[in-house]
Amino acid sequence: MKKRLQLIVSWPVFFILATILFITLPSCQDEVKSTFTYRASIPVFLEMHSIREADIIIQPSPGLDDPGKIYLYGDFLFINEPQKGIHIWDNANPSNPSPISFIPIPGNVDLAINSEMLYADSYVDLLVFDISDIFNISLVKRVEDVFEQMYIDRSTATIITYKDTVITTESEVAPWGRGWSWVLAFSDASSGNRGAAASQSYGQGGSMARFTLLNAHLYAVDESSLRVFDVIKTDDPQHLRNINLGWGIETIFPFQDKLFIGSNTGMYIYDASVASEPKEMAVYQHVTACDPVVVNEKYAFVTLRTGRMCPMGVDELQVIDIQNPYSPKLLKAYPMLNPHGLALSGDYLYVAEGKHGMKSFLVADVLAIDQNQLEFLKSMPSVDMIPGPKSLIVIGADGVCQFDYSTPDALKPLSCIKVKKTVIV
Amino acid sequence: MKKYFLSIFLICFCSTVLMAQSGQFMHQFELGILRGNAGNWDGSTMSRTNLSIQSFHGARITENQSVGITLGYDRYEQMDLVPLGFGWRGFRHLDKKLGILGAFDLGYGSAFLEKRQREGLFETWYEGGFFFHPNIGLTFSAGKSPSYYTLSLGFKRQIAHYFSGFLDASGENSISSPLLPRGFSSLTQETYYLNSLSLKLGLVF
Repeated sequence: MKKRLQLIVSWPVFFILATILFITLPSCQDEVKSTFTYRASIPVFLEMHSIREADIIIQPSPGLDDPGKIYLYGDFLFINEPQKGIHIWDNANPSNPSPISFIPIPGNVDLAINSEMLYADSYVDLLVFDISDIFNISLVKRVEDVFEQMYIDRSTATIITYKDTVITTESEVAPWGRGWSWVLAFSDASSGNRGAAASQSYGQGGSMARFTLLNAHLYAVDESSLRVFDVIKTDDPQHLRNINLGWGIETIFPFQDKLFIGSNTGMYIYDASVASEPKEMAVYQHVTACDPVVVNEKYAFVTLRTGRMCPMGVDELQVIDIQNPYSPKLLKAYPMLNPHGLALSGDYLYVAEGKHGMKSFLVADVLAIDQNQLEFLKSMPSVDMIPGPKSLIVIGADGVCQFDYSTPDALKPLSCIKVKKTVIV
Repeated sequence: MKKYFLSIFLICFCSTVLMAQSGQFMHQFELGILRGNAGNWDGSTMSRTNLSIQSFHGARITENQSVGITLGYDRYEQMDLVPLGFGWRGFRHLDKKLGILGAFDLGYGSAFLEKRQREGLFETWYEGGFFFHPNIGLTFSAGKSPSYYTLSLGFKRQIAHYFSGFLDASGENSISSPLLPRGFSSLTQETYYLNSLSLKLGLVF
């Protein structure tokens, strides 16, 4: 027995393992490391003086990173990159769009184009660019302090903006949600200057636009108000007034002499026949939900969806009878998956269903839209679209894609402007 | 990393099977406990005892040593893990009534038995992690049979992760980082370093 024990002890590997065990056994205490990672908008303070002093130098297109609003003007496609600027693409051939240039505009969120004048926001200012020569774009006007809600200290011209970032902490304190991000929108509303309006040509924005042009006036909605600009003299916008709308304003859509403004809680209809003084005609209330809107002569099509700002909403398409714009009535609601933007082209309606894809409907019979679904492209996640004269332009997960929709029940893919970063839909 | 690990594991498995066909194969089946101390939220500790099952399938590389693969099942309070790894076994005096055993296992504990769960926008899931498990013990001859019983004592360190996150339902553009997968607005990651004393009874055949 003694001899056997000696043999055991003499085995070196046994010694090594025994030593390891001897050292490690007392540490049989579990450890837990917890990290909490969250996306947040951190406040960034900027002085407008320094922003205004910086020259805006047109650059070659650096490639799309994070597309925001899209806008179609003639054969040119304008793609906003939130807070950074505007990409310009030659879209004469939708099957093969080609990049032209990039206008770096700090704080830019939305745009509209009127008779070769590009209106774009830059934090609190409205900028006007002459794009008559698309290869020689120039800044012709800066209308200062028109979106003053971003000011945190007017005396020092300090604004507050928010930057998306990812923060990781060792604690488990849960900050809820993102900060309020100021998003502005231009809309094509204008007042009763028919002569000027008739001579002006506007571009086409998506259903989620916040800028729009109508009757020689530019309309911009922010979170709570409608701002009216006189653009009769296209290169010299005059800020006329702000109309308070209440919180939750999201989109604006012009049709004939009316403005249809989508908010978290309903749809506002404004009479813009006197473009400088839009008058409220009606407010159609619905449950709290995010809601872009498009309209034709008789009906408004509103998509309601759940979202970060409206988590308690519903996901549906509502058809509202607006033949009496002073008394809009819900005709029918159709369940959807998670509808975002939408586009109406004649009797055909296209709905961006977020991550679920894109749907097309024949809406000639608005009471049977669900029975007239033409296509459901599940492979095309999408957030918004523009029914252009040559193509249906869609912001999707892959970037900005275009479809031939001359045969509405069989969309044909034409091209995709790829983004560096996939769009989350 | 997991793919590389799995590839190497499969290569080793195939090699082991081939060597087994040449008569140099050995199995070890072990059943035992993992005992450790878990911390409470108030700083106190609470001991835990968990079931552990493991099998080793190896090929002899020398008269007293085998290498091969280990496959197991560890049932912790938080989760069930399936350790999958490489193993080494060393014996001494296996032909005697009482011998000694040294063993070392290294690999990845998979949490595939735990289902990913989602309630509304809240989602939880587990992921496994690496482990190592040195142990020493004794072997006992099982009479005239070529089999042996083993009793081993060791230390096992297993890493595992628990994730719980809120999905972003906004549909707006997003940013991501290695610590925040796309589609999530927040994510909590708890990384467990499970340090246990292992005590196992086994059978070598």
